[in-house]
Amino acid sequence: MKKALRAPISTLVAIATGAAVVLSFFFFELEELRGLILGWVILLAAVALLLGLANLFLVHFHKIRRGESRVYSFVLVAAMLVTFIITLLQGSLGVFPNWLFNYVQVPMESSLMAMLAVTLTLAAARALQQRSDLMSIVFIAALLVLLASSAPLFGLELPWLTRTLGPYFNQELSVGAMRGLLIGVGLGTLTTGLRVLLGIDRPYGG
Amino acid sequence: MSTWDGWLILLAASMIAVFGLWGGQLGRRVLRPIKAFERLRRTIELSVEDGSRLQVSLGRGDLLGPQAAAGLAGLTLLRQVAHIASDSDQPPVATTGEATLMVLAQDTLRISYRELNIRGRYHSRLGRFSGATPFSYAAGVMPLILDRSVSASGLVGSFGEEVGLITAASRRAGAFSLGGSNALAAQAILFASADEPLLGEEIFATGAYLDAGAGHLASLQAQDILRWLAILIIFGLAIGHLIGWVQ
Amino acid sequence: MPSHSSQDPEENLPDWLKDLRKRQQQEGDIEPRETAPEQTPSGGEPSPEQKGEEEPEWLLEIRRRHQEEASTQPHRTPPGEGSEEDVPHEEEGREKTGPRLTDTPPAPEEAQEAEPPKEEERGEKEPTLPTGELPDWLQGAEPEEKGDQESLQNEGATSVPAFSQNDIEPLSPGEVPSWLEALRPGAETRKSRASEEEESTGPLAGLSGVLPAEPEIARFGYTPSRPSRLEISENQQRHASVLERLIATEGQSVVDQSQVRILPIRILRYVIGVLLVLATTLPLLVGGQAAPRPEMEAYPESARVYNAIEMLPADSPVLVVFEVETSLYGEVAAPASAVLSHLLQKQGRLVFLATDPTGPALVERLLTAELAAQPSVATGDYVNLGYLSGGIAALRQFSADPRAALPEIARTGEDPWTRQALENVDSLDDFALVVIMTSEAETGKAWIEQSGTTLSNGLLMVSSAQAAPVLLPYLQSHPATLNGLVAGFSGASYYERLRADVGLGTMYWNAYSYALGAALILILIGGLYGRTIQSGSDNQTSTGEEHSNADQQ
Repeated sequence: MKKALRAPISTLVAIATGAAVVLSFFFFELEELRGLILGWVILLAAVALLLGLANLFLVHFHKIRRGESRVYSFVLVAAMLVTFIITLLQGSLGVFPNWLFNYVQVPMESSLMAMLAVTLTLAAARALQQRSDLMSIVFIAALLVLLASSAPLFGLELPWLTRTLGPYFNQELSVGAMRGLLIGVGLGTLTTGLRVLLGIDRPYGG
Repeated sequence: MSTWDGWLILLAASMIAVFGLWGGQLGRRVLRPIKAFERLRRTIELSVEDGSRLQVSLGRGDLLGPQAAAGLAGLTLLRQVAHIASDSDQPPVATTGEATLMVLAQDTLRISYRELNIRGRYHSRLGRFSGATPFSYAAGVMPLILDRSVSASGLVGSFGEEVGLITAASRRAGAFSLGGSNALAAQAILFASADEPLLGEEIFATGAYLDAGAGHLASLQAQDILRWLAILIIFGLAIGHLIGWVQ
Repeated sequence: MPSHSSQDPEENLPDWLKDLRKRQQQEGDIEPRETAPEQTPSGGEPSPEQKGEEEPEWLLEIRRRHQEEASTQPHRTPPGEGSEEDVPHEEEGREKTGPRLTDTPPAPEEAQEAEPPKEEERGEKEPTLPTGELPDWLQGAEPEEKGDQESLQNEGATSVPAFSQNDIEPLSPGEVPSWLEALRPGAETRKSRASEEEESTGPLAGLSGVLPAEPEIARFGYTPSRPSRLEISENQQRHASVLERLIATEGQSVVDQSQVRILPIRILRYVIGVLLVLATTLPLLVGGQAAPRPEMEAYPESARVYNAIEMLPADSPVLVVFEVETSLYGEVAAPASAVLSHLLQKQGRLVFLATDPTGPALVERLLTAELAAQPSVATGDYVNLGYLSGGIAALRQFSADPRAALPEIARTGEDPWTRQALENVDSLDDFALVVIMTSEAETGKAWIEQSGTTLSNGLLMVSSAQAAPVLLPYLQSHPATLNGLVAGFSGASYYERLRADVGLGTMYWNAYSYALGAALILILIGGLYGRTIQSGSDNQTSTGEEHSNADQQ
């Protein structure tokens, strides 16, 4: 397809489908159309997942061929293929897939989360060294107060922290700040979506 | 969705259209300086000079929810980075934790290189799907940063707490990291660990600050007006509730 | 060096001096000077009567002193009789600067005694001046032959030079380099004047100050020499040294400072990791309950969940949406198992759903690991609807019409709506309770916003601690969208206290307390230590800047 034709068609399709979904929230006659469009989207998302897995495979296969971090890429590719084939044969309720999930995936992800705890502790400890402006000091101070008020420390409860200061920080101060951030994010989400609906932003290759 | 939502959408769309079409005649808009974007631009230019790679992470937000907007902001960043760093020896790499975002990232890079007449530099591995779950996604991005070929990471998208591992890897590798997310937990982590955090709606200003076009400036303008409108409404309702006008 | 003995010194005299001497000789006051040294080798001091009555007293005194000194001098060969090698070095030096008048003319008697051949060789008479008018040093012009006291005495000179050659160190004429000559003010003018002085070609040859017959362009000459020494200022020297240093370090490899910094940070990371692991695992291994559980009135939102479940009729269908990420399963498992245990205790018919691909597997893991003793779980009397794809869109669709959104269980192909738990369920509101178990605030928000308003009883939620602050405001909304919340280890521990039960929440509460304390202390110490280091380096930097500023000033 020529360049001159592709952009207008993609943009038109994007605008039309977006408008249909938005309007279906105000005109109930369009609800079925919305359901249809969302069904297509879900299907496309599933297909995209397969494409993503293929991309992951290709990237690491390419790394193996070029000799970059061969061992890790080989382990990943091998694990992908073994898990895929076995789950295809036994189903997600099968013994081996369940064993892989319970004894490989869950511990690994939990370990990464635990590593995050160490990383964030280190980052918080070095925060004042990296940045010593007022906001960083307020951030660290609030962090320390909230940590101290979450639970008894070393088995000792400090009532003025856990029952007074902690709830005040958690439910009064931080909620208002969070709401402000969320309202800002919401408005940004609205304008970003409208840019796509109006055809100003065309991330789909238009 | 109530009628108020409809009116809000209509108002926002109208403002974007007006500012986009006639914004230049209303006067040149001066943006408040955001140090993160200034430093990002400088870092991109430095990386072009020293021949190192840039990495843009788009997060793991799918396109079916509100987190899609953060992913679209990341795509804008990716497009602008591809344009600015077109002279670099190593093209920028986009990593995603969501497959649909991966397809869009590849498309963005392909279109950008076509516009720059360097179509031959594009290949599908420039847009990567790094992992299906949040921490597997982070685990897939970290090696790219830790092998020291990446001098800067732009983390703009829908991230969760796994973004802390990515910024930690950037710090260990001595790479610059700029990060923003729609999630509050991720924003808190980025504030503590990233070199330049983007808080709140600053990620949605990416296009305007990186010269993505008049439309981005127009939507930023509309966003600002809506924010002030929200502030006035909240203040009005709070005062009204205080004096008994509002129940 | 020209030969002094063979050259007639008289020829070197300027014209005006020659004229002057001529006049003097004509007047008969002073004899030619060249004869004075030969005739008076001893350089005797002339008497005051010989010089004339006008000589001042100071001059007479000098002459008297000079005569006394001259009498002690050894005899020296008269200049005229000596060979070239005998010529004093001073005389050679004096030759460069031209004629110098260093000796006084001899006395008239001595001058008369001068050898006639000398006069004849010169061929002309020098002008003489009256001794009363000129000082002795100005009289005579033969430096090469006149410096010798003895020669003067031998000649019988009546006048004694004010300063003999022995007194004065003859100055060697300085060598003026050509470039300095060129730098002299007016050098170009002198040259041009020299070239203009006399025309050498054409009909005007010999005349000076005329227009040149040849054009300038046809004249070739040597370019004036320029100073060969390079003048460098201090600033330029400084810049040159900096450039030299830069070039010298170009080939040197730079130490990667990030690598230098990595090792201490890596060690710090290991230390923090070990301390946190110890703080977490030791209480689990030791056991006991050191940390007191939360008070009964600590979490009213969790109490609302407890109350709602307490009022649940038996065999009521309960929808449990499990939106927990694999990584946060460990945290949410504690409150989730406490709530599920309560639900199972109240004989609720549990229906599980997940919009995350790993959700169904995590449900099975939770039920198998923590609730296997429950009869419903043991007999499999629950429904796992599996994974609902489509994110929020599917969520909204399920909220509106569950049967249409999920016609069959994807994993088994079974029609779930034929099961006893779901036989009377056509919409979300048909469930007695809807419990959302989530690890992320966004997912909880999505469920509240998409389906919370359609439920007459509202939602109950079990979440991680990080999602609680975002979800708490929904507890106060009107109409009610969120009716209760159990969050994190604190919520789990509190819920178990409400149920007078001991489970994961109570087991983890102790370890959580110690790990929290350890993290707090590490952050506090690390922050203070880092701040101290940063302040020290800031002080050093500012001191260094002050010193460099002071040096520059």
